[in-house]
Amino acid sequence: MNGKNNNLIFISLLFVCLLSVFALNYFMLKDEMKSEPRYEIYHEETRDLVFIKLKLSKKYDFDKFVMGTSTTYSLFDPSRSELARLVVFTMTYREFYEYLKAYFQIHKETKTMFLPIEYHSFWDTVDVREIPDFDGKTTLSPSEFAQLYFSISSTTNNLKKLFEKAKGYFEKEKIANDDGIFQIETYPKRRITVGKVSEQRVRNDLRYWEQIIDFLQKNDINIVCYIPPYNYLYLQDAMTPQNEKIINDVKALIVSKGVKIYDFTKKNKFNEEPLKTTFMYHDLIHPDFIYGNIIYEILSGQKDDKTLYRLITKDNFKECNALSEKELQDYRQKYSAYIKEYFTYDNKDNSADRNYLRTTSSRDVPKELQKYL
Amino acid sequence: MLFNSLEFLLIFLPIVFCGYFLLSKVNLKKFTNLWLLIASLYFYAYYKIEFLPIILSSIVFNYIAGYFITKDYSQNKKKIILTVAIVGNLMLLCYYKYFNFLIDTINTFNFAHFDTMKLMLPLGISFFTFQQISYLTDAYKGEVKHPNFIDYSLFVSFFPQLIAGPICTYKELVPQFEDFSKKVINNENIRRGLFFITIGLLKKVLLADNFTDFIQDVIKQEAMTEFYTTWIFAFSIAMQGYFDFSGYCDIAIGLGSLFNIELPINFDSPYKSKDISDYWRRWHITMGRFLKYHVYIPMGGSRRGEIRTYWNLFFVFLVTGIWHGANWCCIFYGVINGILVSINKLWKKTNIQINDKLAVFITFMTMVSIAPLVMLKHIHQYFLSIKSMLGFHTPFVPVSISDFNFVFSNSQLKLNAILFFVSLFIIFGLKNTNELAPKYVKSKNAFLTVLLVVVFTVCALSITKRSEFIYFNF
Repeated sequence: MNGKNNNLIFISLLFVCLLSVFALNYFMLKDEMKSEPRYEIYHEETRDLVFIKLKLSKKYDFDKFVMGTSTTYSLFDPSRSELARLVVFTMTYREFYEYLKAYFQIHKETKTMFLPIEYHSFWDTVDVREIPDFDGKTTLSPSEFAQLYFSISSTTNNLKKLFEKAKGYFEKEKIANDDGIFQIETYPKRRITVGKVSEQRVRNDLRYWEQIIDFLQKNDINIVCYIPPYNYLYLQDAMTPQNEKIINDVKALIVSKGVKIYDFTKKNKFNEEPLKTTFMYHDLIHPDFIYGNIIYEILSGQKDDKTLYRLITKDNFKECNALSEKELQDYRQKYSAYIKEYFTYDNKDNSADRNYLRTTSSRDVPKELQKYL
Repeated sequence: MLFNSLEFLLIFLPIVFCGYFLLSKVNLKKFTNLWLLIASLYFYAYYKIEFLPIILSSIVFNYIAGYFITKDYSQNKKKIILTVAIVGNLMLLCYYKYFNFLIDTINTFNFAHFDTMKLMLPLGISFFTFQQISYLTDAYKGEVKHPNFIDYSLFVSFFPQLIAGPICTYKELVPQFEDFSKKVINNENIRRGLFFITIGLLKKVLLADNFTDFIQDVIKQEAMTEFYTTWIFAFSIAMQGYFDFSGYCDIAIGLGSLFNIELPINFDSPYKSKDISDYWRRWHITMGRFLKYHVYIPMGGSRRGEIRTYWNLFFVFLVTGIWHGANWCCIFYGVINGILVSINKLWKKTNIQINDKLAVFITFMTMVSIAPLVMLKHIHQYFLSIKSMLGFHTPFVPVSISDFNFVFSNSQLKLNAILFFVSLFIIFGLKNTNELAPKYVKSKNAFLTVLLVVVFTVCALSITKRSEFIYFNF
C-alpha cells in the first residue's frame, strides 16, 4: 500500500468516524428530546451551552406544583402523586423563574402553584453563579455545537443508551424510564460559592418575584403563596432590620398583586420548640415531612388550623408585620439563655442541642401526629 | 486559535491545506505564501484580535531594520541599526512581560508605590521577537539576503511555529517558502504530518490536560503539606509540562510537514538525559540554540577563562528563568538550573563514571523536584512543597495502611498516580515521535493507519474545554 492510499484511508476513515459520531449524538438527542422535553438556556458569559434538562415525565398529570430549595425538599413528601415537587438546592429567583416557565411549558394541566417565600435564600451565605439574562437565543456557537455533538462524554453516553435500547428491543422488554422525574441537570458552570449574597442579587430577586407572579397570573395559575416554617432560633438571629426589610419588600410586592400569603412562621408550639426535642425539624431551616403534610392539607384546603399560620393580605399586611416582630421579641426575651447557649456552643457533647444530624426517625412521634408520617 | 480545538482541526486546517495546494494546482504558486500568511494572521487574530497590530508593527519594524542592515552601509552604521533594533524588540517584550513584575517588586520593597497596569501578554511575543532578533543578527553577519515582505512576514508568523516555537532561523524557513518544488502534494510528508499531529494531540489532550485539575486544586488549596500528595503534585507538574510541550512540538512539526515545510526538532526525550546539561540540550532545543548564539557566545562563551565560562552559563540560565515567567519562582528556577549545570560541568572534570540508568534517574528526579517552581507564583509555596517532599510535615514512611488508603481513596490522586505510571512507561519505555515517524511513514500496514484514526478521533472528541499550551504564556 503506498503513501497516497494510506492518506486516503486516514482522511476518509476519519471523516466516516466523525460523521458517525455526529449522527449518533444528533439522533439520540433528537430521540431523547421527544420523550424528555428539555429547556435550553444560552449562557452568553461563558459561551457554554447551558443545558438545563427538565426531566419532567409527561406520564403524570400533576394538579399542583411546588418549587423551591432545600426547605421545599424537606417539607413535602415526594411520594405524593398529585404534587410535582421541583427542587434545586441554593436556587436563585432568577433560576426559579426560568425553571417555572419551563415547567409550565411541559405541564399545562397543572392549575395550582405552591409558591414558597424561602427566607434563607435571600441572605444565607451561599451564592451561586447565576445565569445571565436570557435573551431567548438558543442558537449554538461552534464550541457549544462541538460540546454537544463531538464530545467523548455525550458519545459514550449515547452509545450506552443505544445499547440499552437495542437490548430492550431484542428482549422485547420496554425499558422503564422512570428515573429522575423531577431531576434537573443544570449547566456545568453552576457553582456554589460561599460568600454574602450581594445587594444586586437581592434587587434582582425582587425583579424576578414580580415576573414570577405576573407569569402565573397571566397563565391563570392559582397561586398559593406561603412562607415555610422556620425554627424561631433561626428567625430571631436572621431577622435583622436589613433582612426584615428585604422580606417585607417581597411580601408587599406579592400582596399588592392580590395574592394572599400563608405565613407559617407564626409563633406556635412547633416553631419555638428546641431542636433537641422537636420531631418537626431536621435542623433550624429544614422542617420534616410531618410538618409538611399538615401544611399540605392546609394549603390545599383539606384542613384548617389557624394556630399554625397567619394569612397575610393587602389589608392586614402592616398589622401582620407588627405581630411577627412582636413574636420574635417575645421569643428573644423568653429564650435568652437558650439562645446564648446555642450560639456559644463549644463543641462539648453535652452542650445544648446543636445537632443538625438528628432526624425525626430517631425520636418518638406523638400518637396524634403519627398519621402524618 | 488553539491546535487542540475542533475549529482548528476540522475547519481551519482542512481549508488552509486545500487552499494551499489548490492554488499550487492551478498554477498560482506565487500566491501560496500569501495564502499561508493570511491564514497565519487569521490564526493569530482568532485568539485575540487586539494582538494583531502588535505582531504586525513588530514585523514592519524589523523588516525595515533588516532592510537597512542588509544595505551597503559601513559596519559601524549597521551595528548601530542592529543595536537599536534589538533594543526596540527587547523593550516591547519587557514592556508586556516584565513591566508589572517590576512595579510589583518596587512596591514590595517599599521603594515607592506605583499602580500596576492591565497588560495582557500578547500571544507568542517572545517567540516572534526572538525569531526576528535571530534574523537581524544573521542579516548583520551578511548570512542572509533581504527577503520580500510576504516571505518575511510568513517567516515570522507561519502558524505552526508562531505561538510557541520552534524558534527558526531565516535560513531554515525562507528558502523552503521560496522553493516552488515544495508546493506540490507529497504523500509521505502528509503521512508524516498526520502521524505527528495525532501523537501530539494524544500527548496534550489525553495526558497533559488530565494532570491540570489536580495541579490547580493543590495550588489553590495550598495542599502541599502531605508527603504523597506533594510528590504526586511534583510528578504531575513534571509530566504535564513534558507532554504539553512535547505535544505542541509534535503538532507544530506535523503541521509544517503537511505543507512540506520541515521545522527543526525542538524536543528530544529530555527525561532520558544523563545529566542536566544534556537535559537542556534536549528540551526546547531551538530556544537553547538562540540563547547560545545570542547570549552565551556574545558574552564570551568558554573563551574567556573558566570562571567567566561558569558565570556565562549561569547567566544564560538566569535569563531562561526570567523568560519562563515574570515572578520570583521562575527566576529561582533559572538560578537553580544555572547552579546545577555549573556543578555538572565541574563533575565532568572529575571523570567519575556512574551507571547510565542511575544518571538518568538522578537527572529525572532533580527535574521533578524543581518542576513546581514553573507553576507556583510564590516562593514560599515551593519551600513548603520541598519540606513536604522531604517528609518534614508528614512522615514519608507510611505508619499505617491508612496512609496508602488516603492516596487511593482520593479519586483525583488515584487518577494522577495511574497517569504518572502510564506517562513513565511512554517516556522511558517507548521511542519518541521523531524516532517512530520514519517507521510509520515507511510502513505499509493499513492497521496502523486505522489505529491512528481511532486515536485522532478519541482525542478530537476529548477536547471538551479550552486548554492552552503552557508555553503560550511565555
